[in-house]
Amino acid sequence: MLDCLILGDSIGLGVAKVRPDCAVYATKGVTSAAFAVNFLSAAPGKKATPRVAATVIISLGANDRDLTSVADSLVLLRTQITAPTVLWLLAAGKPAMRDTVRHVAERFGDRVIDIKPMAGPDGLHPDGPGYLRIAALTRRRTAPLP
Amino acid sequence: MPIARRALLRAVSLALLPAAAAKADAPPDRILVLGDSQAQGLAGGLQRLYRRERAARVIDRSRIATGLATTAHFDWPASINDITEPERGAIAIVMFGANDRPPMRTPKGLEAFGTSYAAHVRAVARAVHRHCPATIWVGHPIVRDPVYAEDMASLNKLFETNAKAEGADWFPSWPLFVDPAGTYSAFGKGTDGATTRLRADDGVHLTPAGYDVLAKALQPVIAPFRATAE
Repeated sequence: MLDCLILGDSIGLGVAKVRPDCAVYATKGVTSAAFAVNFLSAAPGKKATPRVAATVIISLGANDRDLTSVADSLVLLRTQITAPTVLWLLAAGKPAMRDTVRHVAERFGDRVIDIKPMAGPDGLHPDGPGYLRIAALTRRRTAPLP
Repeated sequence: MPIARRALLRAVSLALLPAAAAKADAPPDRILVLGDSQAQGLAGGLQRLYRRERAARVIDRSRIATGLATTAHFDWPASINDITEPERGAIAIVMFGANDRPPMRTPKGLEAFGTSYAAHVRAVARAVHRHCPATIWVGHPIVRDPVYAEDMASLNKLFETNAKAEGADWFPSWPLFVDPAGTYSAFGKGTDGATTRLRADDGVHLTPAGYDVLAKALQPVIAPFRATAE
């Protein structure tokens, strides 16, 4: 089993740079629906995205303009992941989007890390110190390995 | 082999294998599928998925051409208790919607339909959950016709809100059958990873490969409720 897996968007890619111990499956600019489709359509196997890890860090929602199918996509994605610890990174953005991510996390008993305070100059992506802070927070909340 | 030695070997083997014996004797996990023709297709997918597992049994209690909007073909709210009672303790998978498009589109008509439909969803979910604490309500997948798709999206909201309120788990199937832009797609990756046709010609039902994809996606949702997973 993987120790750590990062799923999601460009913020996920940024976190992967400061968490080199994590496997990463992330795409810049991806919406929740597109990510779910790509993730789910990869049949479990050698080349497919892993779905089991001790800790899974998810960064999605920041690229969603249309929120209609975000909740369904995130719920469906989450049902396919098996991990003792799942951390959702809550990016700056529309309150409705943030509420959606928070509600999905709550439904599965997952933890949420609000990364809005770590946003850099563009108001969305964390800056260098922000990413380091996220790395520290995600390490602290990582499940101990069995 | 001397009888005493045979008896000793038998005693030792029984002592060493109590867990395995108990597991073999345990009744299989029952997966009870309820709903319309989509549920029937899903039951087929689940039967194919679990066919090699002796510890799982899929029970198909679906009825084609039925729904929750009308009792003309079958009265689900009135019958559900009698269907679920004998299967007490099963993991229930419920799927409706394809035959339940609202009959009128005026705001007043839609509101009345929504109120009545929600009551039927609640009645069915409550009865199912009474006998089957593990109830998974599967949302309707996207369909090809845009107006039909809007209807199914509206029903999914009613399913999610009302089935969850009665203790069911909500499972959205919509995103399983869209393209990356979020629109209807007749083709997609099958469970073997190869691109294949997942939707039937009517743009509503799934092909057997599509039902296999749906069943496979449900597997991790069903797993925590199973007592005898292999």
